[in-house]
Formats: sequence, structure tokens, C-alpha cells
Amino acid sequence: MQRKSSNKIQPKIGSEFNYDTEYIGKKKFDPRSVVCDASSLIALTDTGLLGALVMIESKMKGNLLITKGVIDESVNTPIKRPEYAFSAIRIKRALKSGLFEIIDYDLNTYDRILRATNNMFYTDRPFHLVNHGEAEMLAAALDNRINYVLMDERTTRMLIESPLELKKHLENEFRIRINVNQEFFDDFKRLTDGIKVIRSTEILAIAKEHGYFHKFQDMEREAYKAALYALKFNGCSISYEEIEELAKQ
Amino acid sequence: MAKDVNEKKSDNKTIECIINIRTAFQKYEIKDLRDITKQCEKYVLVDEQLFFHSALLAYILSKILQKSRYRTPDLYQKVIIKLNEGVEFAKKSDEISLLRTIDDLLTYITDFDEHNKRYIIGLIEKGRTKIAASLYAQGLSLSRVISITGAQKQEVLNYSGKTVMSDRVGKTIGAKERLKNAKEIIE
Repeated sequence: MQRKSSNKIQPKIGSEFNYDTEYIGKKKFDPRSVVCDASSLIALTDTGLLGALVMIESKMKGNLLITKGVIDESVNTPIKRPEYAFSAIRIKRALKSGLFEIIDYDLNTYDRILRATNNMFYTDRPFHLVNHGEAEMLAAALDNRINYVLMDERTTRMLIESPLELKKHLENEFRIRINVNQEFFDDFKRLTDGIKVIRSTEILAIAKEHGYFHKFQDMEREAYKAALYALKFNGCSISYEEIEELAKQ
Repeated sequence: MAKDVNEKKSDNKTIECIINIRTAFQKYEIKDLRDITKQCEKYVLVDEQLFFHSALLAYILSKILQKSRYRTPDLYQKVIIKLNEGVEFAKKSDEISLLRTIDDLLTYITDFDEHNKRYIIGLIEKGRTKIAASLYAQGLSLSRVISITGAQKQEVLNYSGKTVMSDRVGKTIGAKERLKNAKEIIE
């Protein structure tokens, strides 16, 4: 099915990031490195808060890691659209400045994750929940022995942290009874045991503790809380209740 | 060769869907078209392409009925002709021709919209975003809904962020514990 662009004339704004010339290759990373998902990078950039990630990176033991797929999603695809190009350029600038290391993954791990996530729940057929983007990021974390993923997306986070709650939600939404394929369910659980999900809001909370909002002087607390809301309204899956808890920290 | 039960159920849903879209459009029933969009979303996991395109079509037609600039005899006639064709293909279980018919109609509407639009993001793209956000809220992953709908990730995140989906479902680990985990990266 051909999908037509909404604009007849697409002004050329930016060029793609060429990861083939920039790819570092296999390298050992500190396990306290963080694999970044496009959802968090987009939320941080669109709210003008990428600086918080830059600040955190300077204090990290490990590195901020990114896959080629995430580069495509957050830079190379949106840079061609004028409405998203500036955000994409900001991430591209961060890439070129060395904020992120590019990492790879084994296709076998990637396949295993897709198989587990898309077969663990079924009705008369398996429930295909997850696609390339999330599977690639998790595969990269596992193959590089990294325990932390920066991700604002809700479904994959719930699959890692609370899969049965996700199952219950799917049942309520689709009004069907869902069965669990225990083999795939247990395999995914084994694979992701030890993975900790961080959101852009937690990055902001840590940055705040290190003085990121000092520049707002007497408005420091307000600015911090407003920034948390800004992240939520730009797609970070955090509730109002959690924001209030973080704002108290 | 006898069709299996699931295929027959899917065919029945398809026929019902396209007939309902036609009926609702002919009767100017905007609310019914919206309801059909929601119903088709529920069936997306049965047949992705077919029910996504049906959901999109129902949504777009509901928008067309709402805006006076779309209410032209040419557009109306084209829609009815294509919907009639679609119903016939659905009755013959000819999914490929049905999808082609829906695609033709959406292309026609896209071209029409280009000459009349008020926003950078066209009607079809808005429809894709809305359906993608709805499927994401229902529990599919972000990249999964992008792959089904062709919506832009930024638009879906932006749209979803302004809903209460994360307040209804998604609280797993408490905020304090999550922050404690996050601080491990700088210890």
C-alpha cells in the first residue's frame, strides 16, 4: 500500500547520520552503561532537555549506547521532515560530539527476543506485541551485558517489569481471554532478568540533584516539576502520581 | 477447500465492517463511523492491513462529514461508488481487491485534501496517528503500532503524552525504587 506524504514539496533540511563511517566496532562497556531507546531521546530533545542527559553522561561510570536502528528512528527518518528536523539535528549533533557510542547485537538474540515477546501471549493465534525497534534495543543490551535501558515506551517496560499486568490490560482492551505460553514467557523472563528500565524523567531527577536547574534560581523547583510534566506530555509513560513523587525528591 | 472457522469469522467481520461504513456514511452518522473505527481497531490483530485500513477509512469519512469544505457532490459520489465496490469485494472474500479499493479511496481523499487543507499534517496522517495512539494505549508497543499504521513516532508520542494512558495502566515499580535504580549508573 503506497503511503503518500502529506506535503507535496519536501524541503531538504538535513542529511542522514552515516553510522557506517562512525561505527566503533566491538568494545567492552561498563555494565553501568545505558542503552538508549528512541522514545526517550525524542522526548528529551523535543522538550529542550537533552542537556540533562549530557550532564548525566559526564558523571556516568559507563557510556550512553545507541543502536543503528535508534539512529534511524531518531535522526535519519525524522530529519527529512521539516516539522521534526530540528529535533533530529540536535540528536545528530550529540552523536557527532561523541555523546553516544554505537553498539551492535547478535541477530540470534534479536530473533529470540522477538520470538519470546510475540508468542508469550496468545488467543487463537499469537499476540504480536513488539517489533524491531524494541527488540533491537534489548538485544543490544543483552549482547553487550548492559543492565540499564533508557526507554519511555510503556509496553516493553511492562513486559520486562510486569508482564501479567500487561496481559490483564490487553484482555480488558480487546475483550478476549489471553493464554500464556509458559515456555516463551519464562524465556523472556530469563533473558531480561536484571535489566533495569530508566525513563527520561529519572534522568531529569538525577540531573536536578546535580544542579541542572540551578540556573532557574528561585524558580528551581517549579522549573523541575514543569520539566517533568513536559516529558510526560511528550510521551514519557509516567503517571501524574509518579511525577508528584519525583517532584518531592 | 473448506475455509477454517477463523477465516470465515474474519470474512464475516470484514463484510459487516464495510457495509456498516457505507451505511453510516450514507446516513451522515458521524458517531457511528467513530464507533466503527474503534471496532476495527479491536480486530487489527486478526487481520492487520484490512482492519487498520478500514479503521482509517471510517475515521477519515467521519472527519469528511464534519467539515463543510469536504462536502462536495464529486467527493461524496466517489466515496459511495468506492464503498459499493468494496462491499462487493468483501462479499466475494476478495481481500486484495477490497484493500486496493480502500487505498484508491484514501488516495483520492489525500489529493482532495492537498487542495483544501488547513494544517501541515493532512487528514490521512492525522488518522494514522490517532489509530496508532489508540493501539499503543491498548497495549501494543510503539514500534509495532508504527509498523501497522505508518504513523510518525514523534506524532504518536506527542499525542499519547496528552492522554491518560500512563495513569490508567503502567505503574509497575514505585518512583523511589526506579530512581534508586537509575542512580546506580553514576555511583
